[in-house]
Amino acid sequence: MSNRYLFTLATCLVLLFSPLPIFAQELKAIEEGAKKEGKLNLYGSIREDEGKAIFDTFEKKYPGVKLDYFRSSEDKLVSRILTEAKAKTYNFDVLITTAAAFLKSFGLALKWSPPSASGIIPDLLDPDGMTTPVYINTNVIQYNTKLIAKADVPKSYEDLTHPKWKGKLCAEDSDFEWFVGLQAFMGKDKALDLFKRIAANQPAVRNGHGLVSDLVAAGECPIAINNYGNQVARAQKKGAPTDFVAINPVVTIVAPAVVSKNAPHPNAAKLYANWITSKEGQEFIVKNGGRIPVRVDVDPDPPRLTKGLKLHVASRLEGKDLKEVQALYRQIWQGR
Amino acid sequence: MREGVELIRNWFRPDTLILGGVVLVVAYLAMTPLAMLIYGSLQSGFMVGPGEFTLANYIEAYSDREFYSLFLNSFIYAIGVSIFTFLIGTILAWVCERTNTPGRKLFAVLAVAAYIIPGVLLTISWILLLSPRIGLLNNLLTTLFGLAESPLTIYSYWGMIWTASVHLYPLNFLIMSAAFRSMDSSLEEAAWAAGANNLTCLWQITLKVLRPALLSTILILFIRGIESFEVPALIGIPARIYVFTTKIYEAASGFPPALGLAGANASILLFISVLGVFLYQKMTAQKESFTTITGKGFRPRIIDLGRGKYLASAGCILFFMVTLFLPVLALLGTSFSRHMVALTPEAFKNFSLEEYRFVLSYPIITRAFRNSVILAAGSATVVMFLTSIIAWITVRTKIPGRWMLDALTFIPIAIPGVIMGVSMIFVYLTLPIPIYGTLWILLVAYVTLYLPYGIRVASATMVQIHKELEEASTASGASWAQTFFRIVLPLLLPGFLSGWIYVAIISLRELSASIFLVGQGTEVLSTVVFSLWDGGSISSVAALGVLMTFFLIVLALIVQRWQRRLGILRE
Repeated sequence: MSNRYLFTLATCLVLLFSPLPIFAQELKAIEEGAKKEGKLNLYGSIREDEGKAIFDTFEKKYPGVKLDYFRSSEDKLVSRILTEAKAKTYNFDVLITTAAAFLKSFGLALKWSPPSASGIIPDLLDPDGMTTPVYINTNVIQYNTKLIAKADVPKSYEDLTHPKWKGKLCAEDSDFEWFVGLQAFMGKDKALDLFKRIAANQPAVRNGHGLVSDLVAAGECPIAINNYGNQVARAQKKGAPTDFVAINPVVTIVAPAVVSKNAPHPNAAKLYANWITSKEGQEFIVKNGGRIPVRVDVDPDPPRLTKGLKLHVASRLEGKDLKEVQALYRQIWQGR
Repeated sequence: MREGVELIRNWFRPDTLILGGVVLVVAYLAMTPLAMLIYGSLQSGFMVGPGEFTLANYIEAYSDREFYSLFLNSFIYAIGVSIFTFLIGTILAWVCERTNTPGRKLFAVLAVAAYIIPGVLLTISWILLLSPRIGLLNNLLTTLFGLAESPLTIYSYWGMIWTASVHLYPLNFLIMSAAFRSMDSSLEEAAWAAGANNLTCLWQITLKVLRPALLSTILILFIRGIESFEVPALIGIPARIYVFTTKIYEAASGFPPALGLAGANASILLFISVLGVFLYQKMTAQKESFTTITGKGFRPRIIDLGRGKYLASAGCILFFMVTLFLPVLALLGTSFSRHMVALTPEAFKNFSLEEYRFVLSYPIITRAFRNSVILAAGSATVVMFLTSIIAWITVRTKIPGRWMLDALTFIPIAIPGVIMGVSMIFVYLTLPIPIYGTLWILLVAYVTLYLPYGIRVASATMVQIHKELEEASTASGASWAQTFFRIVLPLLLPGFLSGWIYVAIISLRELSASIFLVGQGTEVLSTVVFSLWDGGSISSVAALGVLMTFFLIVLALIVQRWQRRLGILRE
């Protein structure tokens, strides 16, 4: 009898404690594998100057793994990966960008979730378990604090329709999620009408959120109709005169990491995906890049990037839907 | 004739193999991109899904609402660029070659210097100068004249045309300088004798004598305008002025990549460009029938501008201050701040060298520098080697069909860089040659693009070398290869070197084809600049730009000294 009791207890104990050692074992194997591979090809959209410190830290933590970065904007990265796949040159190991989830439907993503994913805000997780959130982008209005008086700071999108902003607005050329999100909140007709009235102020349309943020900070464009909250936070850290207004509900875009199914350095890929979503990695991207973290135990800096805001996670558009939205977006903002 | 027959008869001699190999390589380089571009544009789902024969890409391109505005925009822009560039270059060339303006020797050097700065950098510095709110030039003008609003904006046709023209005019300056220098001035002398003043003479006689040269120059500038990428991409897109090159870039690099559509649009642009080059060839061929550039050995008279010469000098100084000094100043100013700023005295309070530290320590930038240098040297060497042999065949031998070889080598001049980029993707995603994503694909693209430039220099040099030296060598029992490498090539060397330098410099600046072909590890300087700008690291772009400009100026000075020592004639 007592034997049976002991056995049950032992089984319980094993069940209780086994996840940890198994994770630890898996990580150890990955780390050793990565060292043997010696290299990691990372594709992503974060700025070079922001990335450099992050990569240096990773290389220092895992000596023997040399990180090589390739930066481009999200669409161009996915487009490049598809072209590479067509050429059968499998070069990238991990892709971290907002459009990364597209790789799922092309069969280029590995179904794998890092151990550290357990600390990520559950709402942000991919139900298929093929992508792992790394940071989020919030869609906010950005303005230049020197050029826009306190009283003039827009409090709603409606405020941007005022003719006094004619020629003073700018927009990014691929904010499709924000565009669709607002249509969902307000109703399509009402939203499109609002967009058209804002567009009457002839916003300058640029490619790249970093560029738009820099243009606002420099005063070239006093107000960006939409930009990413983290870009504003980053500019502020560099001493640029800029701030943001978040309007609820805030359309939020998840930038996930996708490990390549054909990764030349699969272990290094997993090691990076795990580190960048760990508490340490997340704290680092907050401190260094002004990024908005995805973990329950890490706060953004400043906290008001997400605190008190109603975040609405946007779903990615694909195929025909994407094409239609792209056409409508261009028609409204770029008049073409 | 005998040599040709002999060459054909002895297929297995090493000489014949070398010659045959070169012919095959050139034919491959010139033809595959075009063939694959057309093939790719006729495929459905080149990237995604099954590929079937279809005209859908052409239908989509033609039925696009934007198609006709693309046509219109491209033409307005290209015509504007050709006329404006032509005016700047011709006036400068006239001042430097035909007048007694003080400082004209220096101006002639400065006029070529603008060509050294890569287009992507010059475009960015003009954005820093002419942005409506933060542009340095705009701020200067508003303060000087107490204006309420900025008078100028870069985001317009004028901004695009101006920026492209101040970059392109050296090409026109060189062509027109040569024309002014070598023209027969007896007609002008007659006009002066008949009492015409300088201006009447310039208008009524000089420009009319040079008319054939003028028209063909405007045409080649038009082709350059319609092919250009940097200005339409960096200024045209924000200004909502889309042209063919930017449309192709968007289609090929957007998501999902519409390579077929890019190919269809590229075919249309290619047609325009080929037509232009064809007309240009016809014009320049015709020119010879009423040539005024004869063997009569005298230099055209230098015109005394009287007091006007100081005015001309001041005008030139102002022009170079604005087009050379200010852009470099804008880059320099921006490179000292941590983020993009309006360049006011206040901005320099936050003086920092952080961006230089970043640029110099960032491994991708040093790697891009290395790649650029390797590619420049590699493409220059391959181009000059191939074209020297081609030139030998077309100039020396009487092999039937050698005109075709000449034509083949010249074809790529009609291929815009953007199209070369898209075509290369088509070729190396279809053929089982695994060079996509390596430096080789860039090398192949550069070599193909610059063959026409190489062949021009090589043929011109080959014509000057008398055949008897080769004959002496052959008579002494040397094989063709021995003769070519030990006699012909050394004699060609001065021309070979100047061609080499020219190709190396234009390779260093190449952006429009590279942007489609670079990948991780194969970045080049121009694409790194483009990517940094795209990501909003403007101060880093500026710091890198300052370093690049500095490097290129030093390089140009070394080349100049070296050329003088070797006694190479500058073309």
